[in-house]
Amino acid sequence: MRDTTDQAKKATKKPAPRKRNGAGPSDAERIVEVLKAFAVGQYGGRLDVGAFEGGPLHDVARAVNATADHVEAEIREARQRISLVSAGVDEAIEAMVRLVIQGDLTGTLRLGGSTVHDQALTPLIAGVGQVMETLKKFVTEIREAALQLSTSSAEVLAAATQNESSTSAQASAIHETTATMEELKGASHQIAENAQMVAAIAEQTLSGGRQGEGAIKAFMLSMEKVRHNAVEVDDAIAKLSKRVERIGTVVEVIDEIADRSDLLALNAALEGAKAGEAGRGFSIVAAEMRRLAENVMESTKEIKNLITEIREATHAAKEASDGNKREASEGEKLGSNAMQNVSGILAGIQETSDAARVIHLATQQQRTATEQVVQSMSEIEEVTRQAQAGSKQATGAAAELTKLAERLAELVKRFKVE
Amino acid sequence: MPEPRSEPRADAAQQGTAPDAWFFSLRLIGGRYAFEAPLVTEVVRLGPLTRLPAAPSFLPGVFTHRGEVLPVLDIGQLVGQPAVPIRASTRAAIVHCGPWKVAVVSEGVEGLVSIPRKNLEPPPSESSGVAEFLSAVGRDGQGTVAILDLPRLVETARARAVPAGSGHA
Repeated sequence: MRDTTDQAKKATKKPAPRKRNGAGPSDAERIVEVLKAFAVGQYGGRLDVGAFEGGPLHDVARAVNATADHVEAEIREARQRISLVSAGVDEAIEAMVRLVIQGDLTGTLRLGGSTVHDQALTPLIAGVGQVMETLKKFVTEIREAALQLSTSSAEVLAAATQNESSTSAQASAIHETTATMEELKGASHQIAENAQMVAAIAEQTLSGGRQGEGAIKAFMLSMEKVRHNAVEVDDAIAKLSKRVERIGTVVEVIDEIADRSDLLALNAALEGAKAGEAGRGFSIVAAEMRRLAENVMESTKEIKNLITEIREATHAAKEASDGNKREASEGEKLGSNAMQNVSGILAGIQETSDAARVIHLATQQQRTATEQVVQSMSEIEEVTRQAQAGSKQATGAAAELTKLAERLAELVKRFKVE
Repeated sequence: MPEPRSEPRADAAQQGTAPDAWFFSLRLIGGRYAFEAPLVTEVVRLGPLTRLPAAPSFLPGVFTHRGEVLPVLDIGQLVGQPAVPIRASTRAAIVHCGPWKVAVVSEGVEGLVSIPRKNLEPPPSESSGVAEFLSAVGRDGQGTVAILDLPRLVETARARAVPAGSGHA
């Protein structure tokens, strides 16, 4: 097109020197003037063709005018096209903005009511369409992601809540355990004290038992002595008894003699009586003899009574001594039984004492262990407290995350994809 | 029981007629009984007795004394009283009643007692038991003493013994 214009210009330029050759401003000059205006884009000026009638530049002038007309028409057309295209672009941008604001991504971009089917717009429309497609894809993906995020965050929230509750349960369980361990510590302390007391008592009992053992030994010695003495007493009683029996026999003899004397005296008295006055003195002597014999018999009777009493007493003494012997041997038996029992008791006490000592030691160890456990438990409690705080935060964060996911889903929902 | 109440201040020679008389006193069936002292020859301890078959209970047996076999008379049983227990120390008075010589068992011999005859009182008028043979009742420092009519008693015993014993011996 330029070429044509340039040719035209060249063509129109030729008549100009002819004009200069004419009168006034020559024709050529006028053509140059018009062409100069053309050169700065002022295509309104025209040459009066009539003036060039018959001149050599007539055709040039006409050609100039025709060129100017043509250029002006071309410009007009170009202007028209530019305004159309820019309207189409505006429309496209407006449509896109509208779409983006309203979130409607359904369908393709159409330049509503536009009759512009300019070739220049096609790449733009295609690009916008591509953008929209991409956008649509993104939105769809974001929607799915938001949905998944929502689900996942709900799960996380649930998990965090559960974690929190289980952590607090764990904390309370640990607290309880700590309290129990404290109690256990107290109890083991008590046990240790009691075991120590038991050991002390066992020690006391042991020394008491040893004393008892000594006392029983002494008692058994005494019993043996008692039995020995009882045997001696027995011998003495047997001797005494024999002597008394002997005395009894002697007394019997004396009694017999006295009885016979009495009888003799009686008969003598009878004889004296028979002798009358002559036997009187004899009778007196006989009577005196009888009295003596009777006195003797009285005495022997008394002695016999005494002997009987002594016999009874001896018998009682023998009984008592027998009893003593029996009691002594019984006492010895009891003593040996008691000895055995005390020995058993001593052995038992020894065992008790040992056991108490072992218990004391064990409970002390237990106490130490319990203290360690309590220490560890308090550490665990601290950690659990931290974990509890953390899980609370996690729950809060998860809740917030859930909210955010919901909001995101809401937002994404505003984009219509189908 | 100590001294026999023998106060032989009066004349012992005149026996029956003298105001004071000697009696031989012994204990029988719970009381004091006596008889004329001259009837008594001796006081002995009863030796072992030989029981006589079919003899009455008042004759518990016979015993030998100085070569003589003497019947033993239990006055208690004769008068229907419990028997006089016979032991080794039991004393008997050997009495002479006419032709008879018997040993009278006693619970104890007191010996000679002297009671004035004027002080003797008649026995109670009972005819049963021992009263049948009483001749008098006397008193001395020890109390009452019953005087037995020994010859009559011995005669009665003999008479009672004979019908049973005549067939034998």
